[in-house]
Amino acid sequence: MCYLGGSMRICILSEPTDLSSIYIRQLAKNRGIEVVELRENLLGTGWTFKFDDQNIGEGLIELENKSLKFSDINGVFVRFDSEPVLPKGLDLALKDKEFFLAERRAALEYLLNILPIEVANRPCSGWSNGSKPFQMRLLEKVGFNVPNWIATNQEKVAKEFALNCADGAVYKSCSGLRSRVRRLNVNVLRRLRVGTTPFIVQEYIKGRDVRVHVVKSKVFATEVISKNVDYRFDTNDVELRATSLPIRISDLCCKVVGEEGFVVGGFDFRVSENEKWFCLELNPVPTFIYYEMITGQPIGKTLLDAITKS
Amino acid sequence: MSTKQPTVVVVSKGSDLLSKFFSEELHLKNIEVKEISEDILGDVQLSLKREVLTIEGHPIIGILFRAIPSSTFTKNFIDEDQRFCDAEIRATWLAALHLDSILVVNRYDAIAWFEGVNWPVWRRRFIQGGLPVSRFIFGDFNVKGRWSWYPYKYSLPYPPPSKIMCQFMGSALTPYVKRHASLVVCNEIVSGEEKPSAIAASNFLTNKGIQIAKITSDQKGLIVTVDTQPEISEARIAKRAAHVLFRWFYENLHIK
Repeated sequence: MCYLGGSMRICILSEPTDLSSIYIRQLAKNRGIEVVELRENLLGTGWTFKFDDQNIGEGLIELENKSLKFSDINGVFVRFDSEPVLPKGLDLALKDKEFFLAERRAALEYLLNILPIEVANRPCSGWSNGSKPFQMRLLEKVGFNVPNWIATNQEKVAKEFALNCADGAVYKSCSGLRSRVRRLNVNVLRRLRVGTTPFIVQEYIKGRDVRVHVVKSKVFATEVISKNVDYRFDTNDVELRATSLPIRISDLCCKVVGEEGFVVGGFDFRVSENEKWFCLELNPVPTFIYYEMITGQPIGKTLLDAITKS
Repeated sequence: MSTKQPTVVVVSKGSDLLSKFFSEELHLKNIEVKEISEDILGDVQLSLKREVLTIEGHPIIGILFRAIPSSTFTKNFIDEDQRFCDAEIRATWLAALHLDSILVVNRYDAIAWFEGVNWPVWRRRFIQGGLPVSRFIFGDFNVKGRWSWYPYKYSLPYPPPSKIMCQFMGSALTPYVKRHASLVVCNEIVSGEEKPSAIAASNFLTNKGIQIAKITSDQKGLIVTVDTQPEISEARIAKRAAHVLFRWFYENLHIK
């Protein structure tokens, strides 16, 4: 489906219930920007692409009713489905299904990584988030403070580390798979005793959370007022308000987003009671809508500006 | 402070000849080696701090990681936990590979690690770096003549799927041509042809922290694909490759 009108055109590659995509689509429609919706599971039926990666200007996206050169598109907004599905009518045995889905995803990633237009975000730009210990070292090297941490599956090591944390410790997964941050407790230590994969044990920073969305060089900081260890999961009694950042933090955020090749990135900070800023994570697929809806910060509009280079 | 011996870790399938010969060279130099089968990597007791990795108390000073990052590392875990636990192991070992205190063979960055150590990530980089690569087309093409299909997750050619499947999968095709493979280790061609393209690719990869790769070129000297975890089934070649690799490794190891 495409909306006619307007000289600008963007593609949105997402699954239909993704709220960020729905929102960006609406913002674009309000501005008269044509939106071409691409669904992963409709590749081959509702749309196709073809290109020679050494002659990328001639690449095409072909829809039911028209063909678009890559150069006819201003930008792309991407939100991949975490549970992709086969095209309708295609039945495959489990192993073949896994192969098919992996191939199709890899094809789309390759396309998005080489498109000569703005892509929010290119798949290649967010992979550091796939490993928290890797990313934390990266964030520290660029100049952020990060809380003390260790990745371990050894009970004794985890216990000793936690004992040395003035305000206790929390634990979380090492990978980028979504996990809740919780206080280190006897149940977790028991799991270590029985045997498990390593996880992060990290000093708990008494203070407050700040989420920072960066769109190119525009920064939107949101203070999170909550008593909960992980406000993303414990949403009771959570308040959000727009706030400002120390210039050093703001500059570092923009620098990292630029160097990592993001159009939009979401940083999570913990600010201690004596105003020391600790960076916890850089998220390449930040859920900005929740923050925008409550604070009114124009993150979506700025993102649309960025991908249309308005 | 650990009093256990500094150790080099070799992670591989049990059948990997390169790993076997490399470990033998380490033993000959009285360097402590821990060989871990990739499918039970999840069982290993480890701790990773900012700059130190210890495995069962041993500080690790070197890693040869001969497993594909998307492999299964948690054979002894229950089925429903495997997907999550494999992701945890993958994440942990990427971080381990980037510790400055550890000498690593094929220090993949996060992009290569998670996208796959196969040809797509390197091809993109070769193109950006101006290296000569063969023609590849992607997606929905009406192709005539003979073509080869390179699945994104493998570095071997296959006959192309049907046009419809190419559309569905956005498949990558390249003209079918005679190909030459070169196995490069630390910038030395240990088997196969000494093509300028292989040497150029090898230099490029070495600068990216990749010491082992199989580079496939065509008769025009264009790079077709790269495999940075090549299987080396011939013992003679594996032994030579291991020796060249060990020479580099030993020169750069922080303990002798």
